Amino acid sequence: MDELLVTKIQRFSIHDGPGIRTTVFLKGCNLKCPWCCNPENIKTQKEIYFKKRDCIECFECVKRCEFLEKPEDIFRFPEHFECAESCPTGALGVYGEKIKTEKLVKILTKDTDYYNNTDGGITFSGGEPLLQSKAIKKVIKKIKPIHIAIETSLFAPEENLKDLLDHTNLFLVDVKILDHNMAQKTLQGDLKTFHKNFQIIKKKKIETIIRFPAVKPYTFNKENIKKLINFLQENNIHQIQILEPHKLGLEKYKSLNLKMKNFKKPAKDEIKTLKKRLDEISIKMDYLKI
Amino acid sequence: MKGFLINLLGKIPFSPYIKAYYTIYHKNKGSFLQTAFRTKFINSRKENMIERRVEQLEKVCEGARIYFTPGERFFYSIDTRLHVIEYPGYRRLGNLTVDYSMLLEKGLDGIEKIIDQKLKNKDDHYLKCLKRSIEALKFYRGRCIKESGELSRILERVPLKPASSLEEALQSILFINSLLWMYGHHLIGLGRLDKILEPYYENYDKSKELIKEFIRSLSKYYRFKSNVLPGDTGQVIVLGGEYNELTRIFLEAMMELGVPDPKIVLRVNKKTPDDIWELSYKCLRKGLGYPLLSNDEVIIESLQEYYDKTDARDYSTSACWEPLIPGKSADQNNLANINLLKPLEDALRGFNGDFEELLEAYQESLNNHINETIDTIESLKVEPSPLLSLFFPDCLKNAKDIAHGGTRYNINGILTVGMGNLINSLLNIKRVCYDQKRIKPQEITNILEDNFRSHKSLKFELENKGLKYGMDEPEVIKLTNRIISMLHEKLRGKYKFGLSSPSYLTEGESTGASFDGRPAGEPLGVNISPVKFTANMSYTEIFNFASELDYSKAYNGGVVDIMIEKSLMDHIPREFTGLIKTAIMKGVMQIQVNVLNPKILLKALKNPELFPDLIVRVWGFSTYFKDLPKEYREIIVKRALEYSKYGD
Repeated sequence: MDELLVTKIQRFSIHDGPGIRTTVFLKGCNLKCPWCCNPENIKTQKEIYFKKRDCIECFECVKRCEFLEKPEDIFRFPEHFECAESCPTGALGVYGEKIKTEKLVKILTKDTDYYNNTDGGITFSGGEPLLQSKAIKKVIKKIKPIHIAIETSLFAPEENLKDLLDHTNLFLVDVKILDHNMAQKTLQGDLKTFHKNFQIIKKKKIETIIRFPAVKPYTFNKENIKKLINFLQENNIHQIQILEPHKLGLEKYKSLNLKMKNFKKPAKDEIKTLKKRLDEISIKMDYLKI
Repeated sequence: MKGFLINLLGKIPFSPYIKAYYTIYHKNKGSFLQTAFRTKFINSRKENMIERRVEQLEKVCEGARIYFTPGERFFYSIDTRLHVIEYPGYRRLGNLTVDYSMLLEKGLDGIEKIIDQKLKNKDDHYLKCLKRSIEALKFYRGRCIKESGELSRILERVPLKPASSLEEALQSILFINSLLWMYGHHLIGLGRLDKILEPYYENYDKSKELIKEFIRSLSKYYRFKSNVLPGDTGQVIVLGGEYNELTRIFLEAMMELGVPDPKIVLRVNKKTPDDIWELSYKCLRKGLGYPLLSNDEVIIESLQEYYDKTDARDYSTSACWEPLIPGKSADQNNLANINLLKPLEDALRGFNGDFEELLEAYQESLNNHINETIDTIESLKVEPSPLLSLFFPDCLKNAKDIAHGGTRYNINGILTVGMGNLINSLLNIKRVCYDQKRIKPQEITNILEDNFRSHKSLKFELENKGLKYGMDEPEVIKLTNRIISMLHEKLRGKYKFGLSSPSYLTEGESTGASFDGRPAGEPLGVNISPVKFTANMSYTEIFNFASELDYSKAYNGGVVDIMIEKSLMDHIPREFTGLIKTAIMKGVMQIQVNVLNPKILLKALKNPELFPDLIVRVWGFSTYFKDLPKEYREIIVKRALEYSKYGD
C-alpha cells in the first residue's frame, strides 16, 4: 500500500484528460483486450524486456549472467532483473518499477504550476489503475487539490472503485464490449461488474468521459454498436470519444516475446456513418487518432 | 604570437586586400572569382584612423550605385559590390542596434545642428569628422533623389527632417540602415520598432500595409546580409515589453509574409496580453522559428549588474538573443566562445583525487582558458565608425567615437558552449568513478583519447544512464549553477557571459571524445537543452530545470531550444501557450521553438531542393533548410526525431 507498480510516468501528457497533465501508467490489468497497445501493463509483476533493435551486441549481459549465451536467453530467466538492467543501451531492461508513494508525490507535484495554468492535472492510467486503488488514494490525499482523472475499464472490484470515489474529479471510462458472453470470451471480464460500477459513478455525479476503441472485428461490429448506442441512451450520455486503434504497441509485444493479435481499424465511411447516426440522436462524437 | 602577426601584417602594404579577398572567398565560395572581379574596394590612405574612416564613408556615399525598382513603396538601395576595407589590428563593430528614435525625432538636420552647436563652443577634430560624415550622408541622399525617378518623392523630407508620418519614419530607418550595411557593418539589428514607431501609428489597415512593405524591403539583399550561414543576417526586430497596435501588426505581418528574415524577438512578462500570446502561438505553429520569447523580469533584473534600471528596461538584443541597450551600448556580445569541455580535458590529465578536488582542478583550468580567450580578444583594437557614432546620442554628447568609449556602456560578452556535455561528463564521473568505483579517474583520459574504441559498451552506458543535464533534479541544477558561478567569478566586472552559442558544431569538431559518451568530433549540445532528448524527458522538465539556473550571473543569452512536432502543435493551442507562459513565469530566460514535421524533414534531408520553402531555426535565426550546409541540416533532423519520439 506504500508503493505502486509503475511502468511509466509521462509528464506534459495532453491526451488523457484536460490541460497539461502527468499520466501515471500503472502495471497490472485484469482484462485481456486483444487490441491492447500497452502489453507491458498487463502483468501485475515486473517483467524483463529485450528490444533487439537497440542491442549493440556488446554482450555485457552475457558477461554478467552465467546462464545467458545470448541476450534473447533472458526470457527463460524472468527473475533476472539485475542482469537485464546491466545493459548499457537499455535494449534489455525491466518494465515496472515499485515507487514509494512519497516519491511519487514528489514527482507528480513538479508540474503543479503547469496544471494550474491550463486546468490540467494528474491521470492514473494503466493497466487498470483501480487494481492499485489503495495506494493511489494515499497519493491523491497528499496532492490535493490537483485535478485527478482515472482512466479505467471499470472491470475491477467495487470496493476498489469506492476507494477513489471521493477523490476523483474525472473518470475516463473505456467502454469496450457490451455483450455479456463476448466480454467474458474476448476480454475475460464480467460485464456485470462494469455496469454496477458505472451506476456508482453515475449516482455520485462525477464527471465522466466515455471512450470507445473502434476495433474490427472485436468492438466495431453491428451488434456491439447497437448495444453501445443503447447504453449511451439509457444513461443519458451525449458525448463520446471514439478511439482509432493503432499498432504502435508492436515493438513492445516483440520486446516481451509476445505476439500481437490481428485487428483492423474501421474504414473512413464506417466512421462517418456512425457519426451521422449518433448526430441524429444528439450524441456528439469525436474521433481521436494517435 | 598573434600580436606579432598583426604587426607583421601591418607592414605589408597590400595586407588589407588579402583579408578582403579572404572574406569574399568565405562568403562566396561558389562564385568567388565572379564576386571578386566585380567587387569595388573602398580604401583610404589617411594616417589618422578617424579620418580614414570618414573618407571611406565619403567614398561609399559618392560611389555607391543606386538601384530602384519602379512600383516599390520604399526606397532601399544597397550596392552589394562595395567592400569597405578593414585594417590589420582592428575589429569592426557589428551585431548591435543604433538609436533610430533620435533619427526620427530630429532628422539628419537636427543631428547636424547638435554638432554645429558644439563646434561653436569648441573646435574639435572629432566633431568636424562627424560633420563631414553627415554631409556625406546628405550628399548620398541628393544622389538618390536624382536617380530614383518617381520614388524620389519619398526622400524629400526624410531623413533630413524629423518624420511626420509612419511612411516617413519607416523610410528614414531604411535609408540609414542601408548605409550601415554598405559601410561594412554586419548583423545590423533594428531595435524595438513597435515602441519607436508608436508616435507615428496611423490606423490599423494603413499601418499594416506600410509595415508589410517595410519588411519586404528589409528582406532584400538576403545573401549579401547573411554572415556565416545563409539567413544569418542579424536583422532582429524586438517587439513587446510594452504592447501597442504595432506589436500586433508586426507579428501579423511577419506571419502573413511567412519569410525567414527579418526575425522577431518578443519580450514577454506578466502583463503580456492574451492575444499576443495567441499570435505568438500562431506564428510559431507556421514553422517560422520566431518569435523568440524573452523573459523581461529575468533579463531586466540581471542586466542591472552593469546597466541602470531605466536603461535595462529598454533592452533589445544582438543578432541572436544577447541583451544590450539600443543606442546606448556598444557591446560586442559575441566576442568569443568558451568551450567548457576543454578545461575538463586538461583537469583530468593525470588527475587523482576526489570529486570535489576535480571541480577545483576544473576551475583552475577554466580560468586559464578564460585568460587565453581574453588575451585574444584584447589584442585587437575597435575600429572607429563615425556613421554608427552619429546614431548613438552619447557619442555626440561626449564628442567621442563609439570605438573610443563614446557610448554609455561598453560591456562585451562571451558565449559558452558545451555546458550540457560538461555536466553530463561530471555526473558520469561522479557515478562511475566515485559512487560505483568501477573506473579510476586517472583511467578516463586514456579511455577518451582512445575514443571509446576498447570501451564500446561504456560509451553507451555513459550516454544513457544516470542523471542528465536538463533534468529537474537538485543535483543537476546545483552542479550547473556551480559552473555558472565559476565563470562569473572569473569574468565579472568586465565581461558578460551566456549559456547559448552558435558554435556547437565547429567546437565539437575540434573536441576529443568526452565522458558524456560523445565520440570525438561529434557536435556539442545545443543551448540550454538536453544533449539528447529521450523519451522519458518532457518539456515541463526541461523548463523546470532551466528556470532554476542562475541568470543573474549568466544572462548574455540563455535560450532553451525545443523542437515540437507540427501535428502535436496543431492539436494543443491552449496547452502550448500555457506551457510557455508557465515556463516564463517560473523564470526561464528565453525560449526558441522549432515546429517541424519529421516526415517532411527526412524527405528534405534527401532532396533539399524539393522543399524550397521549408524554414527552420538555427542558432538565433530562421532560414531555408535547403540553404544550410549538410551538417547543420543533419543535426536539425536528428534533434527533431528525438523530440518526435515524445510520448512513445
